[in-house]
Amino acid sequence: MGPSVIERLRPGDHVCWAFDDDGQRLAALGEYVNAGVRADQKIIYFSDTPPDILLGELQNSGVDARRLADSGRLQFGLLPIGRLHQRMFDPVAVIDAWRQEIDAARSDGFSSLRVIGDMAWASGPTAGADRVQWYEAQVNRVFTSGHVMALCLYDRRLFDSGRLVRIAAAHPASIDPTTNWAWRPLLRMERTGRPPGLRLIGEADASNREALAATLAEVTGDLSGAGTQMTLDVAGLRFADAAAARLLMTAAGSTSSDVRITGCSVSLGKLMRLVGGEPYAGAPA
Amino acid sequence: MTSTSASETPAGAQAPAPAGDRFEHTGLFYRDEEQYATGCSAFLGRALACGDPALVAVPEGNGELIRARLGAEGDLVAFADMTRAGRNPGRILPSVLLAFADAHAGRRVWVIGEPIRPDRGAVEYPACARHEALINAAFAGRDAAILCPYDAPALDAEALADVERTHPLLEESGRARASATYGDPIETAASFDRPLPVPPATAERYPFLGVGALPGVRDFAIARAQAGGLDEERVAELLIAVNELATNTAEYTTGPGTLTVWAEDGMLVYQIDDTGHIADPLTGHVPPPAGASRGRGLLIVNELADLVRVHRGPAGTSIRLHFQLPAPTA
Repeated sequence: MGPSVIERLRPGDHVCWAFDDDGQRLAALGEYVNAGVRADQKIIYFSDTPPDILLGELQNSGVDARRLADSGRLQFGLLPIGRLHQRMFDPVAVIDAWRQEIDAARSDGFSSLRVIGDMAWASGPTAGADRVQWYEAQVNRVFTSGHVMALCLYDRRLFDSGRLVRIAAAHPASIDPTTNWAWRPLLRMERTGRPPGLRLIGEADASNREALAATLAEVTGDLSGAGTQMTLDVAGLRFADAAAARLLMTAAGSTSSDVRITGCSVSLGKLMRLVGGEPYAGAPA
Repeated sequence: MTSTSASETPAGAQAPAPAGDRFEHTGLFYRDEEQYATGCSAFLGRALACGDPALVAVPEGNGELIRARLGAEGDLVAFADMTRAGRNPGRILPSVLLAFADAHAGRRVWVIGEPIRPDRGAVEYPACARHEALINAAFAGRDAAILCPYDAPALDAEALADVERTHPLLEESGRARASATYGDPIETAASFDRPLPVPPATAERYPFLGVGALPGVRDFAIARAQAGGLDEERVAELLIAVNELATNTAEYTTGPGTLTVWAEDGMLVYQIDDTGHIADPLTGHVPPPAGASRGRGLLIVNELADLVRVHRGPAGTSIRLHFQLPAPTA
């Protein structure tokens, strides 16, 4: 058996991990943190739980947590950074803080930033907690750079199942304890520099629709009006459903820049024509 | 088909139509090629006399019979091969009839559509008859004339009676009359919603719940499509269609869904059963308004599958997709 599901994650991944008990949570965390050590990453664990408890948990899960913490490779923080002190969740400020943390980790010589976000606080009365779904979709914009990855911890005992489905759809990929060992992230989205744009790899369906929508909006918004040609590279997109095809077409038609969709498969091209409502599809050629 | 109660008028004259409604939907009973070509060319003659756009969507050979009658004027008429454009009767309305009407918005359109051929099998027939009934609902209030030729000697008594139930106007041997048994199109369409034959015992089942299960549904679907012998492009299209149905189940119903797959009569069959109910009988047959984010799933399914059967039961909905397998090579 090859690398585990957790070990297969890499920078750029933003994964929703829905678990049922603390044993599952800790098993995943141990693997996740140790993989970060091997990859020379800075690791930040955002949680409302006091750091000494988290340290003990990690230590018991096979992580040399105290040494990592002493050396500064492992840090603990409150998510959302700083703002939760005031019992007020401000997703825009948090997304800005992400960028600063990424820059700090890289200027400290780390290859990238590996994040654990325990989202238990979002099940409580914190003001703004109802914006978590929006936040999880919007935060995808910091992941496309490939300098950060995150595992978002959602305890299924705390969250309403319907709400958790919507939150999961804001992540490009989701895992739960029943996930098959052969799992790989359903969708990866990478910003490209030359040509400027976005590369999609994997599958786009209802389970990650919000993540795709937010990322496309971000990329097209960034490049809109810049006069540059932007490329949506879908050669690695093995599957796209009708809603994803619509999102791609909307993105391509939404900016004043020149947007090209490249690597479109025959079936995706056909699907785009179908959802685009071409006036005379199927009629005589 | 030989109702005597209705009044008769010459077919060449303006046929009877309800006041205020310019939509005309006529079933043409023909007995031979001569009657076929005469009836169709008379209909097109009315269109051409008005300078209106006209489309002939019939099996290719029949199209040639009409073209021969029209002579040079045939160039003014659009032709589509119904055996391809209308292989799945569920897509004739959106991608042939309404597409042509919308491409000529603001003008009266004339279409000859021949969806029911004697060679349509028993599995296909209810979908064809349902389509004929839904035309009346989809085109209500539109400025259009649709003529549907029927090979009378080749159809059985039930099929002939269904033509009368689904067409407000009938034409036979050059005489037009109102149908005595034409009824509410939605009720008539519902009468063709027949229980689906039970899948074979060898069918494979895959239960699923929620959008997180969709990748697994696709893995199950693709493996069986490849094993069944569909080519790569058809596998991709099948996957899109099955995924749209499973997505509807996951997003719009609370219960689980089941995907059942088997092969029969040269077809791969994929059926999704769920606890949902499709409220609008025109869903999947009429495009939603431009910009609407929902309502396209079943349209796409109709476009990609070779046949779609829908059965609404008290416990939920069954949608059965058929995909033609390539003929075995010797």
